[in-house]
Amino acid sequence: MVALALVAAAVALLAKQPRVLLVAGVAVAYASYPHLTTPPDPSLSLDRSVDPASPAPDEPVSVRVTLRNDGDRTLPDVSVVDGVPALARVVSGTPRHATALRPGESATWTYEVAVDPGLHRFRPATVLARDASGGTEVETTVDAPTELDCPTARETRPPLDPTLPFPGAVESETSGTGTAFARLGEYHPGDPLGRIDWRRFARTGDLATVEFRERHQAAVLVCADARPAACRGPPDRIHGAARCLSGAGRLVAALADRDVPVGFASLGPSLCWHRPSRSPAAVAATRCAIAAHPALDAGYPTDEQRDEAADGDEDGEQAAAPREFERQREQLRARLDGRQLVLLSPLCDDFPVETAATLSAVAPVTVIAPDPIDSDGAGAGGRLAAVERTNRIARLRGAGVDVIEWERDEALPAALARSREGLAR
Amino acid sequence: MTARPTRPGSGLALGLAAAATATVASTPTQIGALVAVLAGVGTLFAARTIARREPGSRALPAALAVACLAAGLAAGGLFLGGSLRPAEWAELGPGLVGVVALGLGLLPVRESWSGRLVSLGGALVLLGVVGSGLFREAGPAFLLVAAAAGVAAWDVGRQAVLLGRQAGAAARTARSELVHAGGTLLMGGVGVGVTLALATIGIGGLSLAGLLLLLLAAVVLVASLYW
Repeated sequence: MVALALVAAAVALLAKQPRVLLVAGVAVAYASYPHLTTPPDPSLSLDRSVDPASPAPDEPVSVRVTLRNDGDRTLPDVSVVDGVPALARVVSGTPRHATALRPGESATWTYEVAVDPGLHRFRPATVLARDASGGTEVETTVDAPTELDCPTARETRPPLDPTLPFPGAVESETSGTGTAFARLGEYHPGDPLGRIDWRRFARTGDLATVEFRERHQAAVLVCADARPAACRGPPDRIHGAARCLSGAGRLVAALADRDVPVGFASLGPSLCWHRPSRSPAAVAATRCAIAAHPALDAGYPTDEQRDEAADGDEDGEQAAAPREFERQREQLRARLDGRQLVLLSPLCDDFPVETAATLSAVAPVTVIAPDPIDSDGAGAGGRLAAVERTNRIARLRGAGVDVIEWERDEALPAALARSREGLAR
Repeated sequence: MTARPTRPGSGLALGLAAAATATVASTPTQIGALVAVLAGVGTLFAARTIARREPGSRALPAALAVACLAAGLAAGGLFLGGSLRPAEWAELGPGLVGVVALGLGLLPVRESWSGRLVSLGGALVLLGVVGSGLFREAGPAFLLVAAAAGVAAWDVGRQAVLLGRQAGAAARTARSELVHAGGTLLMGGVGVGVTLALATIGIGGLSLAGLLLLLLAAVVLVASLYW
């Protein structure tokens, strides 16, 4: 506007045409417009209703959002983006809305989402309020805690079994009933006849009982890679770390259903740790922690942002981060205690490969690798990343670690079933 | 999610740009050329809508051809007719190109170009208004209304691009955009009124030195608004 005012004034002066100078007057009026309006001070409340609150997988859930202006000033320009759960898909309508709200007035809009099994928590809605001129913009959030609990119904599970195809249950050190020979023990009256070592009795006349290694259902630790490096994925799609968390949620629920003690850990800015447990309360707490994981927040630092930040200041933070992850790996190793580890990672860098290889020395490790690369839309960089990722998978398999590839647009149980078929062949 | 500009704002911005151009370029030939160009841009929008609803249809290329043909014919007719004086070209030419640029920006031909094309379109429309003020004896009221409408077209178009990015073209945004456009037009009306009132006091009688001082004062005012 200032440019228009100056151009009009200069032209008017050069051509000695006062009428053109008047155009500058209009321009000055517009230039002062943003200064005449007061910046908005939004005071809003949000009401969100979902129907049904416990949907079946992929069932459309209708979400009805009402935004109300609780302040005493008119908000001439409000844009809202509702905080759709990170792992939910919008199937119809849009969670976005723009309107003007007088004091006490409210706006309502609806859209539909579909979710995978698991607990899904709505995030706060983001509100952008501008004054009438659009000169100032205020960003704020409005929260209305809402949850969607999509149960892993038993009847929906077969034929897709979400449990692991590697029942490599650890043989426990305690002896008892089982099939693998452990040792010969002293005979106690009452020991089953079938387990008495009769050959030894014939040879020496002593009674001895064969003891076997007991097969315990080993506790499973599900570990998700939620480091910023894992937050890769095509734009507008859920990123690798979010898929890891969604898969972890499903595994925890499925394993808990089968009465397997299950725990959860995630690598990230700090190590998140829930020790393996069979108790329903602990499992529920674990699932809540996964649903509310910071990596699912919009503000979570993704790798792209960190790259940009690193351009500015030198790599002090860049160098510090790997050390933090190495520390977390050591903590994990110390707490693993021989339990079976399922590591979910998109394998975007070498760290998960090293982690799996290191930890496989102390416990059985299975890696589930969601594919974060959109091979259709990716250019040369995407193809290179895909090749690197394939190499990492090959290195892991070479190190004796089981890797299950979880394709894009594939449900986790389908990936596990595919891998199980591959094993049977 | 698509980030294309919202529909109500796009329509309103194009209408305002056309109105601004029509206010200063008001001979029948000029209006005819403007209508031809508007028809071309409108066909493009219709073709785009059909192409979105029915992907793979042949309507888009056909309509593109028709639109280009219409605009070409109109321009050619004006050239061959030769009935336009240079002054009339000076006020119509930038306006026509500006309307086309605005249309391409809001269509959009490319989402990342939207903002720049809308600004270019608005600037060209305003250039046409200034040109008209230089070369023709149109009344100051027309000039001011055209300038206000041109600025409003740019502002509403920019808002359509912004809301398209923030809320998406699928969201209901009409109410917010109408309020915004209403505010802008109201401000334009106030600006036109105040400027006309000042003009009737009679700055025409001022000496060039007085005018210069006035201009300096205006520059200081504008600068102080921004620093």
